[in-house]
Amino acid sequence: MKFGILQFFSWPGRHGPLEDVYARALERIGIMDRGGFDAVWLAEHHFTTYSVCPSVHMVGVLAAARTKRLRIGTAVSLAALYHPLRLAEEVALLDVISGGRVNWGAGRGFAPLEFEAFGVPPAESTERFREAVDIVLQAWTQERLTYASANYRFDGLEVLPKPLQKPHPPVWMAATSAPAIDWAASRGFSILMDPHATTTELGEKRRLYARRLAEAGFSDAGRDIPMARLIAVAKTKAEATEVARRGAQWLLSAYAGPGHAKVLQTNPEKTMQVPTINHGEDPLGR
Amino acid sequence: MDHVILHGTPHELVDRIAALREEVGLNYLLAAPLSRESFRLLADEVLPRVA
Repeated sequence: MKFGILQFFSWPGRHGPLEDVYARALERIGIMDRGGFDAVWLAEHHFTTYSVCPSVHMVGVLAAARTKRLRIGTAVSLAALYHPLRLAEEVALLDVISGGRVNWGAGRGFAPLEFEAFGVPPAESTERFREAVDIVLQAWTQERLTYASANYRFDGLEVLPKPLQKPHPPVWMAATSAPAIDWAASRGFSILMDPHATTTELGEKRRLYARRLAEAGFSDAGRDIPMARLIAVAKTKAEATEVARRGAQWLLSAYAGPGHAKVLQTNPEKTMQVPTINHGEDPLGR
Repeated sequence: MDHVILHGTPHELVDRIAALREEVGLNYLLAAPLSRESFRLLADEVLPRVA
C-alpha cells in the first residue's frame, strides 16, 4: 500500500507569520522525502485561511527543489479556474524541473467565491473543467495543438515545455459526486477520493467507480486510487480524540465560511460534503 | 466523527488502516494529519507498520 500526505497550508486564526506555515510545510515535505512516503499532494485553495496555497504549481517547484525522490502531486489543480494552456504549461514545467515526479490531480472546485472571483459561472464550471482537462492532455501529447470549441481556438500551436513523463504525468480526477465518478470512469481516468466522505460512502463510491470503469471497458487492476482521510494520532486515545474534535471544528468552520455561503443557500447538490452540513447534520459528528 | 476522521493511538491507526483495506479496498492512503504530532507519529510509527 502507498502512503501520501494531503498537504494543506492552514492558517487558523492567522496565528503567527504566514511564512511560518510554508516553512513548516516544507520541513514536513523534507521528512516525507527521507521517509517512506510516495508523494506529497498539494491542495489549492483561494481566499481562505483554511489553506493558503493559491498556486500548487509554484509550491510544487519549491518542493521539488528540496527533495530527491518524493513525487509531487496536486490535489488538486482547480482546472476550471485556469486558462487551459497556462495550466498545461505550468504542470509540464513542474514535471520537467522535478525530473518527472508530477502526479497531476485535477478538480473542478466547488467554492462559489472562487468561481465568482475568477469569472467562472458556476453553471459552466463542469464544462470548463472537463474542457480544460481535454486541452491540457492534448497540449502535452500533440506536437502542435489544433483545437476548436465555443470557448477556445488554437491552430497548430506548439505548447512548451512538454512533460518529461511520457506520454504525460499520471492523472487523477477528483471525484466526489456520482456524476463526477461516472465521467471520470467513462474516460478511463483514475480518481482521487475526498476526505469528507464517511467510510460507508467511501466504499459505495469506490464500488460505483469500479462498476462504471468496467462498463466503459477499462480495467481497474493496478490503479492507485488515493483515498484522502483526515488523521489524528496521539500517544493516548483521549489526546487523539481531542485532536480529531479540533480538526472537525476547523473543517466545519471552513465549510460554513463565506466562500461557501452561496452553496449552502442555493445549491446544496454541488458537493458531496456541503449538503450534509446544509441538511443540518454535522458530517464529523456521526 | 469516527466515520470521517481516523483517530487513535499509532497501534489503533494501524488496525483502522488494515480494516479500510478490507472494507473499501484502500490501496493508497492520502493522509491529512490534523496536528504536527499526528504527522510525526504517522511517519515514525504507523507508516512503517502498514506500508
